[in-house]
Amino acid sequence: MTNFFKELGKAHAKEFESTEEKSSPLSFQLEQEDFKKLEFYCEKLDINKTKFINMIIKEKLIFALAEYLDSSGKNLADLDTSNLNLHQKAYLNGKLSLASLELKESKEH
Amino acid sequence: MINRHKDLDAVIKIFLKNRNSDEENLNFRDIDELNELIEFIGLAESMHLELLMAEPNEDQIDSFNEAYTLSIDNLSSFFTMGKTANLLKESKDSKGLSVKISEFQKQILEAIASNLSISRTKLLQELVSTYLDSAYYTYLIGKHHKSQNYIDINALIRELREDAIILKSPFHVIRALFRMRDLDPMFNEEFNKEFNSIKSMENEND
Repeated sequence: MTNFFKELGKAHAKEFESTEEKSSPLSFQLEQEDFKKLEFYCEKLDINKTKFINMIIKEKLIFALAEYLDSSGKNLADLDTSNLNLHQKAYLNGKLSLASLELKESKEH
Repeated sequence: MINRHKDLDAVIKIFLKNRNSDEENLNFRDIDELNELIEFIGLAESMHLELLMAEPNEDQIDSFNEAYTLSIDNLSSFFTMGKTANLLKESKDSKGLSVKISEFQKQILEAIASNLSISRTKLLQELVSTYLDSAYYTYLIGKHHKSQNYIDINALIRELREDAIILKSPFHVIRALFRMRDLDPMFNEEFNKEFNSIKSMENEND
């Protein structure tokens, strides 16, 4: 038997861990098929496209970079991070280390 | 850059290792083999030796082999250029959308895109289309997860079938089960069932 309030708390802890930050619009293109699916998925999840895409960015952007580095035979030291501030560099380093581990584990399974 | 004379031995050793070969098995009277070695030395000169010495991973070996197998007259670099052009081509059948992202993430996105030599919008487009389905499938797993060891797979599949009708996508269910099949043996079982049912339907149509 699961404890409803405990589970809800855990879910909300994960959901609301992001802090309010200054944001700005970014436009991009999606293939019709993907666009249609995105609209449908957002409707099902009852969230807007911005939230859905931000969740993917948050969870997968650095992992995508780890995949790129792995398949290109490059590593963190090969990246040009001169346009990032110290905080952003630390974030990138930390997340990239975790993503590389995750990638290594997924390859082993 | 490497010093050709000083590092030639090392380069040859790496070449042999990449070919899973040894000196005894090499036959330089075979002109193709010699050409291959000359080309490899050229490659070594344009790269840092440490990069070549690094253990190549499976993806790199695959793309290296693919480029060699599918190129005419061993012009593998042109094959690679073609592959890149294909990856970067813009689809005409696309729709624009605008989303709000934090300045922090925007700058990280910018830095990553620049390191990958692609635009920020291309990076975002590929990121979303790569993980769009996985995100939704994961949501469904969470939705039908009843307790630590139990996912109501029947309810999940029922929902996927309803989705498939709305999306007019007959392969929506099998695509989802294919992605989920490693999570639990029951998903794998359902995937096999779905696969066999599609196959028998195809056979009937034939």
